[in-house]
Formats: sequence, C-alpha cells, structure tokens
Amino acid sequence: MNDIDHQNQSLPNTDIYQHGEPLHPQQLTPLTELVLTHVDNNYPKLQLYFAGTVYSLIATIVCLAIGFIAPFSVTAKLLLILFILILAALIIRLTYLKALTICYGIFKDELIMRQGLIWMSTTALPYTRLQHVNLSQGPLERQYQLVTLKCFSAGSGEAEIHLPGLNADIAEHLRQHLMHQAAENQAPDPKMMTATLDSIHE
Amino acid sequence: MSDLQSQKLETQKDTSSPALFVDWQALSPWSILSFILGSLKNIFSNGYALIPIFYAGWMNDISLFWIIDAAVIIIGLLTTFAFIQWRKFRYRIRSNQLDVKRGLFFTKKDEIPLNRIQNIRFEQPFYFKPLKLAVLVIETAGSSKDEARLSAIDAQHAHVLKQQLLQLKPHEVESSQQPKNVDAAAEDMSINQPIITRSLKELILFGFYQNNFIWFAIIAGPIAGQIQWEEIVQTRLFQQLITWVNHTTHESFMLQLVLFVGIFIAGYLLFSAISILASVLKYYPYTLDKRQQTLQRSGGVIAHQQDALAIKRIQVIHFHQPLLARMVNRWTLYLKQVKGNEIEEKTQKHMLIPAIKPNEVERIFKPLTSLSQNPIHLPDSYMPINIAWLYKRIWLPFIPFTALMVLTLFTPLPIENALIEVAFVAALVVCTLLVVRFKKWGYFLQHDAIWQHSGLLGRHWKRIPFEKIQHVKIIQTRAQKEKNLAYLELGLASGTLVFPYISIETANLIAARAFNTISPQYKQWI
Repeated sequence: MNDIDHQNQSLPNTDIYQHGEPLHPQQLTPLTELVLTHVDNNYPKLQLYFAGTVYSLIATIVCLAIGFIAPFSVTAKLLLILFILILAALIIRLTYLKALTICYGIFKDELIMRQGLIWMSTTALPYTRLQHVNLSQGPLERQYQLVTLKCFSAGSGEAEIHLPGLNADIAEHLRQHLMHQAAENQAPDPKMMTATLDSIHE
Repeated sequence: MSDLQSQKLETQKDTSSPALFVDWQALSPWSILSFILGSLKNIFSNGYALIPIFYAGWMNDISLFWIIDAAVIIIGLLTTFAFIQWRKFRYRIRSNQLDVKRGLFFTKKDEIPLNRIQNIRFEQPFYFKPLKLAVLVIETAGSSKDEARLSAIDAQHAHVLKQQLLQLKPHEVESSQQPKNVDAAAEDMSINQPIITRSLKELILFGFYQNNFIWFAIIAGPIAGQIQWEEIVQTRLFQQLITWVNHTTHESFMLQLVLFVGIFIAGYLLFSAISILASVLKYYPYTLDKRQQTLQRSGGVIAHQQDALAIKRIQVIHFHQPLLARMVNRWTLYLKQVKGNEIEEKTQKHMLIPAIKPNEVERIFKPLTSLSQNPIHLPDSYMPINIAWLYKRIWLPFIPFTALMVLTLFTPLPIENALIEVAFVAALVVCTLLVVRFKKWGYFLQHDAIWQHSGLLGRHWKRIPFEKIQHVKIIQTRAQKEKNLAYLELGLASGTLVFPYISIETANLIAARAFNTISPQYKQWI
C-alpha cells in the first residue's frame, strides 16, 4: 500500500483540522507556566542519601545525648527523642522533594531555571547578559556523573543561576551552547557599533 | 567660568600631542609626600590598635625622648619606603590600556584595559593645591584594592590623562585642531555649561536633612550600655550636676523635663551642625558637568575632588527623600553604578546630587540622552501592591503579646501587667509602621523603565531601565499562585530589586518588556 492509497482511504472527518481561534498574546504561556526539563534522576537520589546520612547522624547523636546525659524524666526523654526523629525525617523528606523540583529550560534567547518547594522561583537569564559560565563537580557528584552549572552576570559576586545535578555530558554541551550563544549575541555587530557611536557623538 | 574655559583650552593644546604618555613615565617627586601622608593616614585610621601601647607607655612614665625618637624613626622609615615607591613607580598609556609598574622586590605590573575603567577620581588634597598637583584614582569594576593611583600629577596633565583614559579623544582632537575657531569656542561654552550646580544654601539644607541622628542614636545605644554608669554616678562631678539640676529646677518635674528636652534639642542641633559642616566641606561648590559621555562632579573646600563617571555605567537612578527632606520637598539623587567590591561601594559614595527640587529632575537628565530618550521626571502617583502583603505581616507583632496573655491566663507564672502593656503598645507601633510601609510600596510602569516606590518614614523612588536588567525572577508560593500574586525580582549590575505582592499579570508584563528590550540585541550595559 502506497501513499496515494492511504490518502484515498482516509476518512473525511479526519481530513479537516480545526485550528480554532488564534491565541491572543495574553494567552501565551507565561514564564511561570513554561514546561521545563528536570535535572538528572540521580540528583534527588544523591540529595536523599546525603541528607539522610548527615541528618540521621546528627539526630542519633542528639538522641544519645538526651538518653544518657539530660536530666529529664523517662517520658520527657521519649517524647523529645520522638520529636527529634520526626524532625530529622521531615528535613530529609523536604530536601528530597526540593531536589525533585529543580528544572531548567534552554530557550532561544534565555536560560530559565525553576526551583523551590514553598517559594517556587523561576529565574530567566538572557544570553546577552551572560558574563561567564562555570562547571563544578564535587567528590559525591563525581560518583553519579553529576555537574553543577553556574551562570554569572555582572555586578554581584553570586551566580544568578545555580543549577545542580546536571548529567556530565549534557552539562558540557550546555556550557558550550551557552558560551556560543553569549559570544554570538555579544559579538559587536559592526552596524550596531557605528549606530551607537553616532548616537554618542551626536 | 572663564577660569574653567582657559583650563579647557590648555587641555586641548596638550591633547594635540596624544603620544605624551606612550613611554614609561615616572611620577613627580612630590608624590613622595603623598605616599608618606597616605601611609600616615593609614596608620592613624588603624591607630586604635596602638592605644594600649601608648597607654602602657604613659603609665610607665616613658620619657618624651623615646617617643620623639620613635616618631623620627617611623617618619624616616616611611620616607625611605615612599622614596623607593616613587623610584620604582612607572606608568604608561598604550593604544587601549594603562600599564602600571611598581615595587622593589616584588615587581607588580598592572595592565588595565581602558574600556574596563569604571570611574576616574580627580583628587586634590589641600597640600597639593598650592603646587597645582593632583591625584588620579582609577577604578575598575572588578578589582577593589589595587586600583591604580597616580599621585602628584600636574593638574593640567591630570585632565589630559583623564580624557585619554576615558577615551574621549575623537571629539577633543577634532576641536583642538582649530582652537582659535570661534564656533569651537562657542561649542566649548555649551559643553562647559554645568548640568547642575548647588549653592551654599542648598548644601546646608542637604547637610541638615541628611544627618543620621537616628543612626547615631542606634549605634550610641550599645556603646552607652558598655559604660559603667554606677561608677560615673558615684563621681563628684555627677553628684554636683544632680544637685545643680535639682537646685535650678526647684525639683519640679516639668522644669526637669523641659531641661532634658532642651538638652536633647541642643544635641540634635549640634549633630546637624556637624553634618552641615561636613556636607559643605565635602561638596561646596558643587558642580556637575557633562563632558562627552562622562559626568563629572567637582567640589570640596579642603580637598578639591573631582569624580568622573561614564554615563553608560549608570544603572539605577535612586531618588531618596528622608523624613526631614519631606518638609522642604527636596530629594537626594544617587546614580547607582555596577555593584562590586570597588571603593565606591565600600564607602557608600555613589555619585550623588544633593537637595534637588522635583522640578529640577527633568532639567538634569535632559542632556543625558543615552540614559533615556524620553524625559525623566518623578512620577506623581504609583500603583499599590496587593493588600495581602499587609495581611501576611500584620499579626506578627502581636505574637509576643498573645504569648504573654496566654501564659498569664493559663499558667501560674508571675507576669507583670506592665510587661503585657509594653508588649501591646509595641505591637501597635510596629503595626502602624507596617501599614505606613505598605502604603509606600508601589510601582509605576513606563515603556522603557519601571519605577519602584518604597520607604518607611522617608521615601525612595528608583528608576530601573529595562535595558539594564540582567535577570528576572518570579517567586510564588502556592497560596500566592491561587491569588495570582507574585514576588518579582529584577537583577541588575547594581544589585537586585524586589517588587513584592504584585499581580502575576503585571509581573509577566514587566518581564516581557524587559526581555523584549534586552534579548534581541546585545548592547553594552555596564
């Protein structure tokens, strides 16, 4: 069966497609609703293990201290220990959930990152304002081939975008793409330059 | 004015030989003086570390000769160091960078690309004034401490050098080829017309409303807490003082109150006087000029200072009106630059224009077309933020009060009623302040910029041009999302600014305008 047959056999009601009304600018997806990519699956796992180890260690030490040293009654001790254990579990759970929320998107003109559990923040950094890009990898991240990407703009010493948990291969591509975009966008366009110079010496 | 112009003409003559600084240049030997005084100033400003030593010496009756000897040795050492520093200091300007070489054992060479220079400060300390010498301080965006400092440069040369460093050559050279041309002179006149000047009266006004008495009180509080009041009360002088107060006021409470209020007002006036004096000494006679693409502020009674700032470096224009300034309807205008570790940021010395009236704003910015194509003036009104901001905070001050009430009612703890009353009054005061702050929050949206209005007792207007925005961040909680509200954070090179509790449509609109301005084409913004 070739393509022509295929056309002839198709049902009439699937041949016509209603596009509907064109979207108004107000109906376009706003910044906070854009669909973004999640970071590597290993990152929340890593965060879970790390937070789990650290906080359970702390909780254990505190519980031991309460159990053997603190001069409370047995019920008070038990209640306190229970409270601390619940708190530790909650913190570990929240760390994991927060790691799950991190996502990013590479768009034509800007890099967008979203994160946060309670305060959901969406940051957009246009490539024209990108000053430098930094990739870093800690010892734990190396185990899972994860990389942290930092994008800096001018002024503040802090990274505008701090994106952890990228797969190492993706991160390297991403860095090159960002640098390329930044270089391309920021290359002084000869026409533009003269235009600005003219306006300067008007 | 004529003084300025002659200076200008001479400057132009010098510019006709731009190859002046291509070879390595040494500083004038007078710079030794500047180096010595610089290190002395450093020693004295860090001198509190020496106080225990002096105190110990004084207690142990060390003879005056030792002190003189020590002083002579220190001065000698400083002079030697300064001499070496002068001998080894070289600078030159190549086509597009400034090279500075210094140091005896550890030779240090700085190469500063001219287009990275943020700010050039022309300083003339009082001891250089009669010698017609000056200090040029060159600041870059990144580095903080090691900015180049060219001291004891001939004042005329300093001007030439400054123009070269700020790359103002093309226009200057052009007009210097025909220095006797009348048109060129007329053009110079128009260039030399200052953007704004401030009279003595206005600077006094500035000093008056800008004084930081409240901050002084806040800082003085903990210090007063450190003093051992019991011992002071025990001293005879204090006892005599109390007797005198009681005697003169006939132990009447009203009169004592009047006396204390009088002392407080006198203290306040003294503080204002100091502030006024500082303002006049620092800024008088205040002049702001535009030379090509830089703004230059000059003034200062004791040390003549001249600040130059490339106009394109200006990020946010910040209008501030402290409480006292509201009564006289004056504003202080700060031109915020790229934030960093540079000196300007540390010492909070943004280039500022003191005591301007609202109707002068438009005139100031009229010549600065590169900041905005449209006239800039203070908006008359602003859109308020959502009331949810207030609801979220208004109950917080009552927490201590409620806790105390609960404790008194349900536990047998002995809590004084006075404490509860204080907590209640404090909660009411904080509430009022919150309401006042909420009323001041707002924004005013334009096509090329957004204004932010905020303040508590004073008022702030900040103009954020879309083309200077670096990143946009929208922050929402789930509850805010349901109510279509958001925090909007705008990142600029001069710092981030937050608009709390604005509607998500506005936030998206601001973000869209910002992206439409900055994303399509690259333009140098810092």
